[in-house]
Amino acid sequence: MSSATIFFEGKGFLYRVDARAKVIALLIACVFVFLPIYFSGILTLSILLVSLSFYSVGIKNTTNILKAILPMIILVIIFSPFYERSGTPLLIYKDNLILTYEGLIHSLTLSLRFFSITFACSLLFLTTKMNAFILALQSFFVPYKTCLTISLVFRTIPTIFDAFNQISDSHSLRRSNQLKKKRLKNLFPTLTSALVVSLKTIPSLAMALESRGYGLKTKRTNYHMLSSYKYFIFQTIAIIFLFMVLLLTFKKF
Amino acid sequence: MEKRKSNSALRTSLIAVLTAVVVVFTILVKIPTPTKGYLNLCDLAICFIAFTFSPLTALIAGGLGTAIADIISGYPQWAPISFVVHGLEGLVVALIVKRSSQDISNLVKVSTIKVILAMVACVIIVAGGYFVLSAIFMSLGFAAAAAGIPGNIGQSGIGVIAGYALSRAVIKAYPPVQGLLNY
Repeated sequence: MSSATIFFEGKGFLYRVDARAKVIALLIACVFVFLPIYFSGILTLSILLVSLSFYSVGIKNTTNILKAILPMIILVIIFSPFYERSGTPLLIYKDNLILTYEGLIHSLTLSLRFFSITFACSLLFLTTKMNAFILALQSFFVPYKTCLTISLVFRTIPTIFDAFNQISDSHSLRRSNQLKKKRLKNLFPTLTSALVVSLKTIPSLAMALESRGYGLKTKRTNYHMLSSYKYFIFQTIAIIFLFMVLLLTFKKF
Repeated sequence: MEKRKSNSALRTSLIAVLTAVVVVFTILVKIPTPTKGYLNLCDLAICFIAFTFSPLTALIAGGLGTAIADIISGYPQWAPISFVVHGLEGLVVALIVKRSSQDISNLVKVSTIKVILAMVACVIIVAGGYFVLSAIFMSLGFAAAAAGIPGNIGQSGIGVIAGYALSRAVIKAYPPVQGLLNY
């Protein structure tokens, strides 16, 4: 496990969009799907997101996202219509109302909302490097301490993961040919050892931070920078304009 | 020499490492569920932190760790919900089992009533939290969201017991951890 992110290396359209603009787009998309708009509005957004996904991260990644959420969407489509009993009947079985038109639309709306949120989130993390995402958070006034903690987490995950695998391998060498049930029980000593190894890294990490001047009140400088504000502002205006057009076209109010 | 905030670096390091532990425990063991989600050891890690460290550390490491695990595992849409639910889980469990300063000599033991209370609170927060928040904010509807309740009850209930056992084992195996208990 060399990298602890889902970032997919590519050159598509979304890779050229500023990380800050993508974060804003994600937030607007999540709010947009809950606004009082017609079903066609959410459908349009979903089609837009899938097209963006095809163009930016390719067919394989798009189908991977789809595969991950398909069972949940099927569950929503199966169960939700039964909770919307009023409206134009579509399916009646032995005098019992099974499905109404409103129920069907309600169920499809719920599914597409989930679909849109999932695609928007996945596209952000597939096309944005973690350091760019953290710099974007910093530019939105998320405290430096929080951003540093997130960076340290991503740096520490592979180390702990490797330590766990090494401990697990050495434990399993001492007890080969064991039943699966017993192997699960033996997970406990492995977890204990992995935790002890992880906790032992804390003092040296703290010393490393202090030697880099962490905790001083002077203003910190950054090694990496995001692109200039010019692109960010232009792209953000374009994103807001796009969502305004969608809202005015499909609004219910 | 300029002043530094006392132990700020140690606290940040502790939170970062424990958050990474939550992430690793979450993505390490995955038991698939019918809804294509997965059951994991995140509650075990969060409860270990809650039984061993301060409520604030449990809140941040629990919330942030599970949110990052969701992002890495390819389920980023669940990250905000996981952050709220598991952060709250860590905070509440840690507050329930929090030792007073007099108990510090007897670090390993927590009373059975406190453990049971922690387990009930944990199950309610995790199962109830995911049910309500996923139904409303993920737009799944209450019927589909109910599918996750049994798995969450089992995962969080076992997590508290195993987390407590793990906390006792780690404090015994690595006594210097006692110096970090108030962080």
